[in-house]
Amino acid sequence: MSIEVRNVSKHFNAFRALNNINLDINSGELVALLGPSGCGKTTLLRIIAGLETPDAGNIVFHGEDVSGHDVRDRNVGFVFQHYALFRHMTVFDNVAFGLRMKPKKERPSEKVIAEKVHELLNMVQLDWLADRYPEQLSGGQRQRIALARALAVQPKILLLDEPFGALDAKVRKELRRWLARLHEEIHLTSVFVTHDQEEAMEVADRIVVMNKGVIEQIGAPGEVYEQPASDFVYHFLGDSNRLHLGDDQHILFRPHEVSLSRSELDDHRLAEVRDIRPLGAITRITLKIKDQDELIEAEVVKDHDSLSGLVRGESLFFKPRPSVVNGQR
Amino acid sequence: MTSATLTANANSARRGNPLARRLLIAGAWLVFALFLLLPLLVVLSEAFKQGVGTFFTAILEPDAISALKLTLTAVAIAVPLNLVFGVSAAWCVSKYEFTGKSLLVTLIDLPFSVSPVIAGLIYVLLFGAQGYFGQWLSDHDIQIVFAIPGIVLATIFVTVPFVARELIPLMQEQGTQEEEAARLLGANGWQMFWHVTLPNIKWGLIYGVVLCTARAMGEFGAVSVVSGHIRGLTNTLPLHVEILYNEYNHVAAFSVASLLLALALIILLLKQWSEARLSRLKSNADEE
Repeated sequence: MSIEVRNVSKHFNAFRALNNINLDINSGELVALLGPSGCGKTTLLRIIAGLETPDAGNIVFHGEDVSGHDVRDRNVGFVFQHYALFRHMTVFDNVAFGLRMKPKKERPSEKVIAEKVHELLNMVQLDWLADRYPEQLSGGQRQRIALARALAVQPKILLLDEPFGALDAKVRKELRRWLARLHEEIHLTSVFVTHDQEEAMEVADRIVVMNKGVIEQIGAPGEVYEQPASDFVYHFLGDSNRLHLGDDQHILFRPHEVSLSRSELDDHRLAEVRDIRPLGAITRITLKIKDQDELIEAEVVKDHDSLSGLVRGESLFFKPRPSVVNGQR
Repeated sequence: MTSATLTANANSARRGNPLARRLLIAGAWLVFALFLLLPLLVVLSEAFKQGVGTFFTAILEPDAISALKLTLTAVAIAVPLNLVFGVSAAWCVSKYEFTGKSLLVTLIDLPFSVSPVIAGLIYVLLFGAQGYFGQWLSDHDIQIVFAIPGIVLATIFVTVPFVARELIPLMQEQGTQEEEAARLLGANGWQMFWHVTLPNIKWGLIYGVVLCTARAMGEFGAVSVVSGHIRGLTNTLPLHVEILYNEYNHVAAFSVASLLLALALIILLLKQWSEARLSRLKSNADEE
């Protein structure tokens, strides 16, 4: 089911959370709303769900204007950052909740509900936890239960609010890959909110970069990274270095967009090595050049020629190779 | 103060000097024994001074029975009303933002700060024969002051804060996400309340109701002003005790007092039980 967001604005007292947002999400797509905290991404997600009412604008699901529909009639699955599992219910009862709340005529029998719940628990690989209470589960397990609970009512749209935000780094990584695989299997139109650009790049089909209540750019992960529409997008999607060229001119480049050498080469600048950090597959070198206080960070593969035997204080020659031409910005 | 915070305080004290610890504990017990335990024993010993027979005569006397009935009636009306009011008020305060919210919270606390006697006088001033509504009420043959409605009203007034006060922090701490999740899963307002909100606040609610009941049974000041002390009609148990005592009928007074005491002990046990459940719930939430 497709989602259209039409001219949506929202204020909280004097604070402008969303300013005339327009967004089309295609059926079956997995879209990330990416931005710093306070940029309005969660508000937008909650407006799509019907948990908040916009001051102006419409939400359209598959051609039908649902702006006036109550939360319970929108048929969206919603996953909260802090899970929001019902603490006094077992895992089984949590997942069964949506089915049991259906009006009597539509409500399946307890036997059908049990089958459905176990099917979902198997899907999230946690069937063995059916009798536990949420407080007995780890964060990653709780979030998977929350997802199973949201999917139980067969929503047409899945909305996830910082779903991995409360988890530790390793679990977060596992879970987001698992979510991407799950999305490939069930192809449910999904929108998730995140402030982590790596997460958005890794999981989403398209990324919506937001800042201060407006959309800065919409595009595929490669697009927003390689062709940022604004300085904000460029800085938000990755680390960057600034190299002053004199006369108030500078160029921006990413740490990996650099050529390093131990010996002097054409167009390469001399720099002093301030720090060397092996980060697994890559190594990060912090460089200091003469006429600039801002340090330069360079990232190269760990077995790069220039690294062998390199120690702090030595000299290196570097040259920026920005893929994005944004020199004068 | 809940037992959870008491336990926390005890934990930090345990690390201190052992002598100081013993002195403090001994002091606490001494105060407890002198000011609480001893009076209770006196009440009981006075009640049974002339034997079990006299005790039962005193508490089975028609006026005493009628006082007991009236007390239970006032409790039976005031407590459910405060239950409904308390849950609604706590719900509004903790789940919605609206203007006048802090004023509402302050008003809920008002009965704690106003002396019960003044509360009683307010009702006399409003509904008494010379009161604002006195003429209208007597024209319509409705009696509030010096009758059961006045006693119930006074009881409601002094017990208003108990349920709401207990629930507001609990519901604020729990937030609205589970309710939102329930609505997203298709639950209507009533289903959400019954299946999600109520189970989450259950123990806090029971605790509040127990406190409310205890206060409703024991209330003296406000009820005394509006009751008129008509024997067998508008006397509650505490008022009946006072009358007997003023008549130098000490044994009867203490017998009825021990009846009140027995009710209080039952309430205390209920309170202990709900409090234990509540603090267990809270410590579980803290572990998250």
